[in-house]
Amino acid sequence: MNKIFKILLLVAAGVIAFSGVSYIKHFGKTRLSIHVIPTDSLISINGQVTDSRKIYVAPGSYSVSAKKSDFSEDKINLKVENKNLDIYLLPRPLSDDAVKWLKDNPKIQLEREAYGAKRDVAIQSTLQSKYPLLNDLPQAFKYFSIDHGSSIRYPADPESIAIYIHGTLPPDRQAALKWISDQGFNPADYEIIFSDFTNPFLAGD
Amino acid sequence: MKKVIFLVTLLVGVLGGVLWFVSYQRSFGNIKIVLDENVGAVIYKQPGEDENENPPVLVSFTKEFVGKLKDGIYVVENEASADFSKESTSFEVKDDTQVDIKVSYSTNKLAGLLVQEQTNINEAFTKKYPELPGGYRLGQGKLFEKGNWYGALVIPNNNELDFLRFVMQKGSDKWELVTQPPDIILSSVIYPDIPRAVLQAVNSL
Repeated sequence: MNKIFKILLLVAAGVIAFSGVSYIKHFGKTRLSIHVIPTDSLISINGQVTDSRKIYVAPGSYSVSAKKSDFSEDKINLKVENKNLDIYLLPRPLSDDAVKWLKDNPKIQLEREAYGAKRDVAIQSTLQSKYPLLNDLPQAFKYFSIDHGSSIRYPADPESIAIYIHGTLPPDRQAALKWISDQGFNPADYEIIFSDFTNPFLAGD
Repeated sequence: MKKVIFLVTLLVGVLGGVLWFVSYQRSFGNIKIVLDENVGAVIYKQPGEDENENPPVLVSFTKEFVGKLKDGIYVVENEASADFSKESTSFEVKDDTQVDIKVSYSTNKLAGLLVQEQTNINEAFTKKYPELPGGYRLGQGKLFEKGNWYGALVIPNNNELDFLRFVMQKGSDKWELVTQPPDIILSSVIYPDIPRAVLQAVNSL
């Protein structure tokens, strides 16, 4: 009995020591969990290759990419803060061999689709935290409406959006901007597109 | 048995102490604040919603401050003088932080500079847009920061047209239109190189 108690105490001390060391080692860092298909893709973080799929990084901006021959490179640029993140990288098959590999492995294809869905959810969540106004959209009023859509400035960036304001007359457009301000957001923090406005300085271009 | 309990207790105590010490040490960040003019400034902790609106001054300095502050949000405020306006800048202390502050000229000084610059500004605008669209006239604008930024309205003569805004920048003695075309609202997403304070002021004209 005494021996068992001693062992338990030592195990508890070991667990506490391990947790303490781990806490100190990862203090102030955020965990990035990288999920990738094909699983043997080469993962780079800010250009540095890593074998690990769980890494701890300090808050900041990172570019994480996955490369594999016969597949297109998949890259995600992200801003890491204090919240642990799951990253889904899905290089697309380019060669016939790569396409055949996916066809011959329906389980992997299914997993790939599931990762794709999770990635879409993550992008949506990023959009909502990057553009908090999205939580209040769409809005339709008598003389104007406000919604979001693709960015014209950064069309290739899936994490960039624009706010689309429909309002036929100048006072309607101003009312839409005022509505955004009244919700506590600065319209100038967003790419604003007035769908019914033709800039007179561009007329004839 | 007592010896084991004593050792485990000691180990847990030491680990707890180390963890507390590391956490405490890491709760301070190195901070460097540099003003681009030889003016005095103070640092105080940004008050929370229910806190005293006149928090005590933590640090007074001239031109540059280098030191340590506990993690949190602070405000640095420079002194007003005949040449410079009083401005407050919030910053967050987290790990190593450097804050570079551009002190702006006072309203009177900027108004005096504008008298000298207005002709050059108008000429530079007219060079880009020799003719204004029908129904518009150029409004009187304002200089910002060190007189190197200018913002103004293009004013419609009827309420079926929108007020449009633009920003110009003086670089090596020459004024240049940096928001093209003039628009209803100037966004920091579209013009990331223009100081947000300048965009905000021009959007409020």
